[in-house]
Order: sequence, then C-alpha cells, then structure tokens
Amino acid sequence: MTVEPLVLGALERTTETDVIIIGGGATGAGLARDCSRRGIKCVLFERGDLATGATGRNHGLLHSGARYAVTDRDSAKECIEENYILRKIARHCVDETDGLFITLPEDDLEYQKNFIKACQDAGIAAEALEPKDAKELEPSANPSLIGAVKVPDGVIDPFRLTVANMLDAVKHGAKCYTYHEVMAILKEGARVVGVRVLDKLSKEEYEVRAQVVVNASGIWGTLIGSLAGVDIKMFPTRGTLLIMGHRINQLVINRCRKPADADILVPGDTVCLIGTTSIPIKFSQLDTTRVSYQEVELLITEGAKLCPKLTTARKIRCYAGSRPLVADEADTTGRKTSRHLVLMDHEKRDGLSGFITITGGKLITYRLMAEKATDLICEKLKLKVPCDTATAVLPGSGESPDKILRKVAPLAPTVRAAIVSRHGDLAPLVESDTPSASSLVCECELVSVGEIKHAIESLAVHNLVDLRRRVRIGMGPCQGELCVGRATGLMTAAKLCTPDKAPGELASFLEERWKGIYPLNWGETIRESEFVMWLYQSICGLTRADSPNPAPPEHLEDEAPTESP
Amino acid sequence: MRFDVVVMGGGLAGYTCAITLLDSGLSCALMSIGQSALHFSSGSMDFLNALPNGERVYKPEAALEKLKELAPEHPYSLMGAEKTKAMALEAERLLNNWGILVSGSFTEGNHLRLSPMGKLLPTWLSQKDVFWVKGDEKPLWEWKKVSIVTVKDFLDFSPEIISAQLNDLGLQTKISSFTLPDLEILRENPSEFRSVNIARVLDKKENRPLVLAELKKATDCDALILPACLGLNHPSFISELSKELGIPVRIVPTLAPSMVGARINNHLHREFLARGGVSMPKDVATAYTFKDPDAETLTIEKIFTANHGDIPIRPRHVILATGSFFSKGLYADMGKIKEAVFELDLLDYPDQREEWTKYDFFAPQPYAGFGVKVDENMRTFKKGKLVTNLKAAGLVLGGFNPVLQGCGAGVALVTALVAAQSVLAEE
Repeated sequence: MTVEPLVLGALERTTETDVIIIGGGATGAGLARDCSRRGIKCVLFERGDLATGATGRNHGLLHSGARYAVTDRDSAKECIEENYILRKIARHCVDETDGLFITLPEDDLEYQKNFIKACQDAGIAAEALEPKDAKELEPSANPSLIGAVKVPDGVIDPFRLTVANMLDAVKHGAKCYTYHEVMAILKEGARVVGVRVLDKLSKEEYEVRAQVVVNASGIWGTLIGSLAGVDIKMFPTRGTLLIMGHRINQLVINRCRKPADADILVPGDTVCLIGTTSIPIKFSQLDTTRVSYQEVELLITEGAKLCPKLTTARKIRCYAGSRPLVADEADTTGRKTSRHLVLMDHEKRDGLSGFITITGGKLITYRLMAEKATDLICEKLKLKVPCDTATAVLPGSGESPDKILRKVAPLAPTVRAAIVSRHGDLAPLVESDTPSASSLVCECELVSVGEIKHAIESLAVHNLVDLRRRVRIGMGPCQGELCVGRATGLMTAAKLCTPDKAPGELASFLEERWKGIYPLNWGETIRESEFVMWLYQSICGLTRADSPNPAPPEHLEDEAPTESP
Repeated sequence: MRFDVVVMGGGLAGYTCAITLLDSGLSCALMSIGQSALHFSSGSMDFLNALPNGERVYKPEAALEKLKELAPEHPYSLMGAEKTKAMALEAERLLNNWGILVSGSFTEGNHLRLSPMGKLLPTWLSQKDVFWVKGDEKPLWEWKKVSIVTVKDFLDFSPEIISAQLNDLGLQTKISSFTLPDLEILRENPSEFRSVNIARVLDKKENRPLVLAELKKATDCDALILPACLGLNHPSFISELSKELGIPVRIVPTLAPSMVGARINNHLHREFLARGGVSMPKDVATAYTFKDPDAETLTIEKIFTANHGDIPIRPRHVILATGSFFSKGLYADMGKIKEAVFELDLLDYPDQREEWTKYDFFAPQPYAGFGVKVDENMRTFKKGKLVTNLKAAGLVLGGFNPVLQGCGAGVALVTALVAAQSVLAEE
C-alpha cells in the first residue's frame, strides 16, 4: 500500500463554503472531519496554530471516566465510550497505559467502595488491587498507599490527534487556515452569513460566506459570541501542569478522592506530567496568563503524595491552559458551571440563525461534540447523512505499528520507532533513505532532518513553535537547547523564513520556551537555563531587538475572576 | 597527598591560576568534573562589552570607573581600575606565551567577532584563526567579498543566516559546501555529525590534500570563512591552509559543542601537564576539615574527594574556580543558593525565589549575578570568618552578569591572576 500524501495548509483562499468552523482545537478539527466526511464543504479558521488552546494545554489524559464516576455519571459514561472509540480510531495517538486510583492513609477508604460501585454503574471496568499488587504494578506510586483501583485510563497526544483529524478532513475536501483570526461575524438581519478574517501572515482581511458558522473556540467562545451579538457566559479558569524530565510512572496515577488540585500524574512519551490547579482568571488575561511560583510549589507538594519521586525529579517545563467552563444555563444564580458538552443553537436560543456554538466538554469527548454539532448542521442544511467518525479510522492509525516499522527500515531502530509513534501509518511519507535525511536534529526526541522536512512541507508549520507541536522537537528533557538552533537553519534552508528573519524566529521560540521555565529556577533546571542563556544570548548574541515581540511586563495586574464581558 | 595548591575547577580561571602558580615553582593539583564552560564558548574572550545600565562599551579601560559606580561588587570594581588593567595586560601576555595565539588588545579596545547567528559582537581577544574584524559599531572590512564554505549537511552552522547578516553589513558573500569520503562514513551515525567529531576527520593528515582541493574551488574571493570544525588539535592548521590557498582563511564558532572553545581547554590542559601539574579529572570534593573550626579565621586542612576515598589531600592553598550553576560551582534549591563545596558566604541575593528570574527572557536575569563574596585579593569568607587559604576566581564569583555585560572570560582571567598573586604574596 502506498501512502497518499496530504497537505494540511490551504494555499488558495476560499470565499464561499457551506460551513465555517472557528477554532482549530480538537473540537474544531473533529468538526471539520465530521462535516467533510458527511459531504459538507467546510473551512476552518484558527487564529494561531492547531491545538494551541486548551486542547494542547491539558494532561493528555485518555480519561476512563472514573474521575467523574462518583460526581457525574453521565460524563463518566461519555468518557468511557469515547475512550474505547479513540483506542480504535486513533491508535497512533493513544498509549494504552491503564490507570490507578490510589487511596492514601489520610484518605477515606470508604470512598474507594463508592468509587468502584460508581465506576461499575457507569460501565467502567474498575478492579480493586491489594496494595502490594498495586505497588508491583506501578513501583513509583506512593508506597504508603492503603488501597488502589485499576481503571482503563490511558494517554492521548492532543497534537497528534488534532492533526490526524485535520488531515482526514483535508482528505475529504475541508480547508484548513491557521493564523487566520475572525475579526467580525457577518450578519444579514437575524442571520449569520459569514465571517471577516484577518490572514495574520499576509496582514490582509477578507470575507468568507457560508450557510452555517460554528463557534468552536473553547474558552474564547464568549468573545466570538460577542462578535455575533450573543451572550455566552463562561468562566475562564487556569489549570497549570508541570512536566518532569523523564517518565517516572508507567500507569496514570490518580488520587481516589473527590477531584482536587494536582491529583493526576500522567506519563507521556519520554516524560510525565502532574496537574492541575484551578484558578479563576479574567477574560482580558486569557492570552497572557502566567504560571505562578506558588502553583509550581503546590503541584510538587501535592504530586509527591501520588509519587514521592516527583520531589527530586528534574522539572523541565510548566504550562497553563484555560478550561472552557460554561455557565449552567439551568442554574438561576449564574454561578454554577457545567462540565458537559454544551451545544447552542443560537436560532432557538437568541433568534440568530446560521450560528452554532459547541463548547464545554473535555478533550476526550471532542469527537462526540463534533458529532452532535454536525448533526445540528445537517438538520439546518436539511441533510440526512449518518456520522461515521466513531468507526472510521484516522489517518496514521490504519496499519499496525509492526507493519509500518518495516516500511521505514533504513532508519536506526530508535529513530524508526519515534517516527512511527508520531506519524503512525503516515511514517513512510518521511524521507528516510539518505544519510542527510536521517541525520538527527533533536537527540532527546529523535527527530530527523527528514521528519522536519516532512512537517515543514505538509503539516502547516509556520514557525519553530508550530514545528515543536508537530514533531516534538524541543519537547524532551533539554527543551530544545541545541536542536532549536539546528531547526532554525533547516527552516531557513527550506525557505520557511528568510535568512534575515532567522534570528527573530529563534528569539521567539526561546521566549516561548522561557514562559514555561522561569518559575522553575532551581536545581538542574537553573543549570539548563544558564546554559541556554550563554548559548543564545552570549555566543549567538540574540537580544530583545532580534525578537518580533515587545518586552512583556514583569508583573501582571492581579488576576481575579470576573463576569463574562 | 600534599600539594602547595589544589585548584578546584578545570576551566579558564582554574587553569590560568594553576599554570601561573606552577610557573612560580609551587606544586599544584587540579580537580575537574568534566567539560568546562569553555566547551560552550565562542572561542573569543570578552572583557567588558556593556555596563549594567545597557550602555555599550567600546574601550573597557575607559569604562572601569563608571562600572565601579554602577556595580561596586563587580570583581573589576573590587580590585580597582589600575589593577584590573595590569591584570588584563598580563593575561594577554600569558596567553600568547602559552601558545594560545590571540588578536586584540585591552589598550586598543574591543573588536568584533562573528556569531553563529551571523551577528558581529564586541569582544576583547579572538584566537588568530577565528573570524574577527576591527571596528566598534560598524565593521572596518578589509575584504569586499568572502566565500562561506561549509560541510555538507552539517546542522550546527547555517551559511544562509550568516550570509544574510554579512550582506546587511556590507560584505558580499558566496556559499558552497563540500564533503569527503571519511565524512560520509562519520555521517552514518545520525548523531555523530557535530563540530568536534568532524574536526577529528578533517584534521587527519591524509585528508589534508582533499580538504585543500575542495577549498580551492571557492577561492575566487578575498577570504574564506569556514565553520569551526577543523584545526582542533593543531593551532597552526588554519594558518597553514591559508598559506597554501593564498588567501586568508577564518573560522566561525558553530552551535555547541564549540570546537574553538574546546581547543583552548585542551591547550591549557597540555600546558598544565607540561609544567608538572597533577590532573585529577572527573573528581570532586566530598568533604573537608578546618584546622581549628573555632578560631577567628578558618584554614582548610584536608580535602576528601570522590576518587580518593579516605586519603585526604592536604593543600596549603586552595583555589575555588568551580564555575557557576551550569558547572555546579553554585547550587540552588527551592529556597537557597549555595556555594557547592564549602558553603562559602555569597553576595546578598533575594530571599524570594520569585526574584531570582525575570519573566522576560531577554531581561537581565538576577541569578546570573549570584555568587561567592570575595575581597580585593579574592579571599573568601564563611559565616563572616576569613578562610585564610582559600581564594576564589571565575564564574563562581558574584557581582557581575557575564552574558549581558560580556565579561565572563575577562573576569575569569583577571581574578585567576589576582588569586595567584594573593597565594604568592602569602608564600
């Protein structure tokens, strides 16, 4: 079987289509996939890169639903159903690790009983383990645990998942435009007829018309809603996560109690991460919110209760995302939020036709959210086509890894495994039969020149940070210390940036990287920071003047919860 | 084991101090943990490129008084302008004496080096075969057109980026690349194609005619620019190429590892051994004792190391040149900064960890200035008591930002020389 090449980024502009999707997270990409598979013409606009909002800023947990079993059975059921669907349709994005819910001496063992029952009621296979068996299964778990339950949790790579959905959408005719920001929603009377977008790369604005516009922009949904003149009440809440420099645990480790801060430790590729916190922020700070020193300390103190090794493990990066928490519209106080997916038909809700909002939910329910929204789109377009996204396998997940490995045989075994894990059955598209192509750029994550070229040519990469999301370059233990300099050279050679802009590209990447490192200023991390400072500021001579970004203020005004605008 | 002096740290400061003391007839052992910061350096040495307020410095000599006002704890400020100048001139003389041939002079002021990102940056001394040009703000080119010749598929050097920057600065450029059969073999291992490894191949005698033949193709210009991945172990390698080709050849530092920096380190190591220095590679102090811990001043009696177990070293003098955080001379935990071996007194630093780093990547990072407190003779203190036989030198010291002020190598050299003088004065 030859692999059909797919190119993510659209080259030509579209001015008319059936459906416009606003937002390139998992939900938007899932929607593009669902629409295009049902024969609906659609265009997706994302103001930055794919998976840059909450999609790429969470645990990457393939929820079993167990976390919600006690408090919210419906959510739990949704999770476990989607969990098994994703294992089938997105196997190259999933690591089937299983998860443990551990009870510590200070926790109530009674909770475990309720927990197991609630899981079983929701259809989640939950198996109680003897403490010694649990410790044998996951040696990194806190040895003082007094109870443990094994559940079918797993790990999912949100970047890979979003790209795979978008690739399938493109294959079925959808168009994907990253770095396109929606500036206005076009209305004719009580009907939405399209959007005006700004192409942020060319700095040109243009109008695109469609029968239905879908707001799939996560927490930014409120802002898109306000462009259309509808009020969507949401509560931005920052969740912060901390990444360790190696993979300490093999299974996901959760705390068996009511959900709280820093109670999930998720392994992922070569690293693992602990999260999260939950801090209300202002809408005005959605794009500038920062991880605080105190949050980092809290994550370490609480995380160490799940896994004591966390205390001494090297910390490599922290990051924060904002959950799309939507006000529960049935609640009259206006303070309650819902964790469910929320589908708003603004024709029914606000008398504005041609406009839909899909938000709330979780990464793991992205496909279901897309399905529900597409069902509504079909209803509006008077189409009757069934959804097949629960059974159709995503690009990359077709063939089994063993078979694919044979197709990229010229590479060194470790590099081969890394490429197959990142691209699944699309791995043969990565040039690998020459020494130039197989030369390694990133030694932590085993990224080759060929893989970078593939990403630049086919996966809508516009800068080094996009590249990081596509091929994990700079995501490993050294966080791009050496490889990013090499990648800058390759991007220049590939004419993705002009040579005079290259120092700026590199400066931008380093600034983005630093946002996740500045609060981790001790131990091994400060050593690495000093090294990077020498390398790029001293030896290479990069300064603020090289960066395309203005100097950020040292302190933000106090972050505090507000009402939606 | 008895030595007159034990030097902890095998970087620029440690070796400079050790070689100077050996030349004065003292016996000397040097402990090092591995690759020093030199392995990740530009191959040029900065003395002072900017003041703490960001003002650019062209003539370091003229800026020392102002530096003293702005940064009274800077090692240059501690020792004073006169002494700083004398040590700078001494360092220039010594480096050339030791066979590390450098261009540039403290008296004339800074010249410009070329960075791996194509930027011309101020510096004090450059190795003779490294690309540099006279000038302060603007380069005073001797050439109109240069050829940039790189090794095919070498990722740590981008001729396109360097060329674009040089064009902006008024120099015409031409780019080409070459490969050799031996390089093709090296390339088969996808992670081996780095500067130092390539240099080992290109430096081989049997490859010399092949390298020359390749470079000859690019000589229709005023000078050749090559990535620093040849001439690792022969200081005259590049000047010989130059002679044979009939035009100037210069090398430019690549991304890490830095061959030009590693070369200085190797050279210093050889000079140290040639004078009878005792090298203790990959060794680190694990414990120490003071002669009389309750006395008003402290004196180190014994030092125990990882490799020597319970056999102590009994030095009369100790030089601490262990470097900063990267080299593990300084250590930070979540609440405190420590000097790693003796827990010496540090210059004041903020208690709050929030104030160690700045959110802006390009802002001066406070932690860069943290380090050991010394007097003008590089003498150190512990809990306020003088440690009589322990001097510190180099990046383990505090009071300066080596990156933004561009003064790391200068501080390493002059503090090492002052520390050595201090020891000799006590002898």
